[in-house]
Amino acid sequence: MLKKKRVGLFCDVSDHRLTLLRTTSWANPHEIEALVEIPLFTSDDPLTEVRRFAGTSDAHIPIRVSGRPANRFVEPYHVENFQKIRQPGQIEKVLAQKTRAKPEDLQWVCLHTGSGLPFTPEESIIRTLLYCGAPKAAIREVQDLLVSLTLVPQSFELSTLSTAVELARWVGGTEKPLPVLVAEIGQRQTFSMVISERGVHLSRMFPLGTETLVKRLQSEMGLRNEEAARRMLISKTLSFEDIGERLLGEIFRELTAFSSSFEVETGETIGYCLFPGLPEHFRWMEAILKTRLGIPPLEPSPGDILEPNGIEDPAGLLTIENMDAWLPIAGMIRGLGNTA
Amino acid sequence: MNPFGKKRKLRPWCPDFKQNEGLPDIKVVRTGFLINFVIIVIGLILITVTIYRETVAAAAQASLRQFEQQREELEPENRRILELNRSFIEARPVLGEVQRFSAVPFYVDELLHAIGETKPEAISIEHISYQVQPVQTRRDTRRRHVVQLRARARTIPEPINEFKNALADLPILAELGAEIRDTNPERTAGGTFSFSLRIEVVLTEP
Repeated sequence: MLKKKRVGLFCDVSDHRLTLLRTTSWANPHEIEALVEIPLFTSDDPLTEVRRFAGTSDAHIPIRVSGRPANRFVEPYHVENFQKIRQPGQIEKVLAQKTRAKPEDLQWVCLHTGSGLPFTPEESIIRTLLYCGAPKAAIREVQDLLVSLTLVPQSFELSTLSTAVELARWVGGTEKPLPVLVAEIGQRQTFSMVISERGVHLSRMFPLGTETLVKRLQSEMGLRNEEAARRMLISKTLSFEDIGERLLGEIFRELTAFSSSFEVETGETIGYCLFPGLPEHFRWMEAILKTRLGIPPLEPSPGDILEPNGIEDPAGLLTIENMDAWLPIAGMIRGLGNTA
Repeated sequence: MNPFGKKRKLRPWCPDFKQNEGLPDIKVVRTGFLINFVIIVIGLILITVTIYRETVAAAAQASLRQFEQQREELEPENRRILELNRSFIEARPVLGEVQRFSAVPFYVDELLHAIGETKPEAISIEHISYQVQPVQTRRDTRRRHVVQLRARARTIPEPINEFKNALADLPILAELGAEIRDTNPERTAGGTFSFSLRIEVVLTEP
């Protein structure tokens, strides 16, 4: 019987761009067919681009999503009192302290870092737990954006968590494991974390993003309003070689303070850095920050990450340049073939 | 504790944070089995129709062979009947003629002879003819038997009246209800009188 081919569709969505990835099927082995980056603010018609890529004009296109909702958290918790953490409500109490939000407003999970599964008090205690999640409203906001583009999430994972897991695996497999500084620069927030082979070591969200740059650009250029500065920032006409450093000053200072605190606390030196979620027209930020921070960029061989995850890329579409987008998707694909 | 509930599939390091609220329902209704079902039904119908048609064709073939055999058996008899029929068709006009002739309730020669015998001395017959004319009515077919007679008389009107009365008294004509009509006599160059008589009998065909 003739059967319509069901391709696998995955996406990584940030504040600035949507990266779509198409595989030959939803099942193993996952062979990469195509990958496209759609900037959310500079694309003329993202809906048409999405439909063209998905190869369908259906009103609802199922997709597996990896996103970066606002106020997300991927935060390690070092257990000090094993008896106390087993007490009912203690997990929620810690969550409330860490996030300063009501647990019922959050979609969250406390992962056992040994198994990667949700921690239960009956489980054997491990020294570090990992709180992950985001406000439900922020997740819905991302989902609504996707639905407006006819994409209907079948699952929603945190790109931040997937990236951390995949990087920890990769770092653990290198000859000389060095920590990685990851900074996800959003519109109004930047989520930074340090990943070692043991997982997420430290994380922090600070309220600086590309909108900060807009305000700075407005004052630097003497522009009348923010909209003009915003348009100038996303335009490809302006060279940010000179002005870029000044625009990124605040973010740079925060990242320096964050990475320094890690290095002081652990005595380890950060070996690599990665800035996921930036679209093509913001790649200059990545270049400037790498240079100023003095941290070499992360340059793994894509095959080292793809192969263990059961992903085949015969066309070589997944490169180091777009790694920040496919890394969380690779984590999703690995999870599909390893359902507990 | 699993804040996602028991229903969600647990995959290591891949917790699902999806919010179902606000998402369109795209639960797919699987209809693939319907296509298989329809294909099987169509196949069964085609097989049934083919078997039925083959059965009917086989039965028709058997009947055909049977009728062929019957035809071969009946052919000599049929040929004989056809021959008989052709003979009958050939004989039919003759038979009809005979029937019509035998249906006439008198002998024409006898009638003519009787007419000749009845004639008075003063009348000489010049010409006498006999004709049969069909008369079609709504209810049946009749035939008009006409005897036309032209004669001469030395005097008038006694001989003519005498002849007419004698004809009317003829038993054969009286039985048949014959109608006798005459024309006015005309004087001829020789001093005689010429007249005609028409004796008419209408009979129904049997």
